[in-house]
Amino acid sequence: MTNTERKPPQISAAQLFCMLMLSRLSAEIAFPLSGTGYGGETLLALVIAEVIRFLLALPLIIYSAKGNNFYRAAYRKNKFIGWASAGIAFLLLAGAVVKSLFHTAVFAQRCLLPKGSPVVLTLIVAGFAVYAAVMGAEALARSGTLFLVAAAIITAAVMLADIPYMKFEAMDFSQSQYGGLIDDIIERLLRGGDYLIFAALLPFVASKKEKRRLNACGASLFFALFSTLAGVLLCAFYCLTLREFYGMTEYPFFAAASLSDIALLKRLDGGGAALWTLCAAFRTGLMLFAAWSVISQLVGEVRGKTASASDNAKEQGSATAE
Amino acid sequence: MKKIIPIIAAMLLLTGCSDNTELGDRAIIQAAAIDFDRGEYRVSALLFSSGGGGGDTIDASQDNVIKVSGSGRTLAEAIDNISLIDGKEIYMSETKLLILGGGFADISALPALNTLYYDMRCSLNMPVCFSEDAELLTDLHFKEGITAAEKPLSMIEYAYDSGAYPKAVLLDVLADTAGGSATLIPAFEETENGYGMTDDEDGKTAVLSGSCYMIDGRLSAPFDSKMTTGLMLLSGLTDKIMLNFTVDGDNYNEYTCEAYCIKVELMPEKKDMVKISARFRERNGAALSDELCDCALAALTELVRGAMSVM
Repeated sequence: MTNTERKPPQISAAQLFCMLMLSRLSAEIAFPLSGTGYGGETLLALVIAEVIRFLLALPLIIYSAKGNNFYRAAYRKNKFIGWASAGIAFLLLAGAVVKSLFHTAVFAQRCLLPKGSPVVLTLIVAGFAVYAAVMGAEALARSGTLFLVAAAIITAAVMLADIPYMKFEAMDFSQSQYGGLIDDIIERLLRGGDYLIFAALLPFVASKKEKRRLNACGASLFFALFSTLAGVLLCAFYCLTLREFYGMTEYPFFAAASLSDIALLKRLDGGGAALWTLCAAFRTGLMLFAAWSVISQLVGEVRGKTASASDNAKEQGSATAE
Repeated sequence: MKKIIPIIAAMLLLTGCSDNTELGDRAIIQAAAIDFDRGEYRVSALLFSSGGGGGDTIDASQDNVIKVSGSGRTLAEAIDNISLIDGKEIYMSETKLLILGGGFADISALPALNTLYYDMRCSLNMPVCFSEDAELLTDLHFKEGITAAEKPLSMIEYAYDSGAYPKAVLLDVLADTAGGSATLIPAFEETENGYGMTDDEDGKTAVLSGSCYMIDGRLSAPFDSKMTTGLMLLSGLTDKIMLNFTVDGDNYNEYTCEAYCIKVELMPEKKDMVKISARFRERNGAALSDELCDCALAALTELVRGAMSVM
């Protein structure tokens, strides 16, 4: 154990909430729509997927009200369970990083730079993600908040500019088909990973002891609620604006943004795609950091125990010699 | 992190500069007319010409439009032909009007429309109209408006606002096709009463004459203005029209009034039955007598019933 310890990076619960929301919305907007469902099926799939995610993450959310390091707590209970949970989380996050990297590059190429090289775009996004991960939790938290605000502004501008094109009769879901519901739910679940990020960033949430835990727990509950509401809002916006064309387009937000035609708010698809590309690249970096953090926390726990065990052995040895 | 973000953002956005095109080297299409004839697509495009002015001023005496036509077995080939003829890269994101020709009564226009949206990046809010001779609007040189497409666009907008003719954009066609329903699109035809509207010495111009349905990409036979009005009322595309009616069938005693707050409800349980409610007033806003209101309602009902036979 060293005498001087660096102060661990700290983020606020609000910043944690912002990062989780940005991650969720980036996946919603920058990932291609694979199903052909529309209207009622899409909304139902969205709500069901959010409920399933919340239920799977519930033990973690309950733990966050009492403790601040899920993987270390699991390790202390049972070493095997600790390593297994950390290992699975690492693999899931690593897979999510690759998926996010690929989809971000494809989104940038399809919506923003059709003549751009996919390899170059992938390398740029990967470079950004690695740099973001290296910069650490505090830098990610500050930039995540900034990106979320910017993304919210442009998304709100697109929604406002598309009001003249909205047709409220499109919200009549009585004729909706539900044949692809299960596939849609699975596809939405595979876009997740936000609660894994929450578990990885939990140790970094700063506040006074008791308040920290409640703040972190509160952030996760707010995230569960607002991510569902945001998803429903986006889905309703697409249904109102694009109607049946929603199921035919790969990136509904990009399609809806191309409609915008009010005063200065014309064809916001380019600007919107640029900003959401940046947000999706941020998501990749955040997941990369989370994957590294999960393993490093457990490694730190093991090294701490090993170091204290060897210190104890040295003290006993010197006491015997005396 | 704060310093690197703008750099990364700039890198992402500037990758397009490696293959950049100057604005003057782009063929900006203002209006495009597409037809299909004898196994070939024919595209006539009105391109914006920088010779018409620059900076803050537009010189109305100069021609700011160039018409170029191209043909090909696919729409993309026809558009590439235009690019070769004009010597510039085609830019269709600012296309303000799409005119479909009579050739699409026999063949689906969907592949062409998909090419326009997905490949040529046309906006989903680009208005679509029909003309038997697709090149009618691209051959006419309207004197009013800064861009060539402005006059026909303003005709469509005004007619739609007054409830006379429909307005359809690319999104309407694609969404309705995906949903299995038909889209009513406005139709133009040639006339000769527009002295001064165009460069033509005989007063040749284009006028909205009715509409036609696009069903699964194919155009139906065109409808006249009366049928168009009835179809718009049935579809809920308008709830106010100018209505001509007679009193007691006296054809020499015609009245015109404004019908507004029109509600048309089909009754599926009773075939060919429809419930219509409306309010009527004179063109100057004055109230109409009860007798005239009854006659107006009868005329409105007849109008809607006539359209029901088509739906």
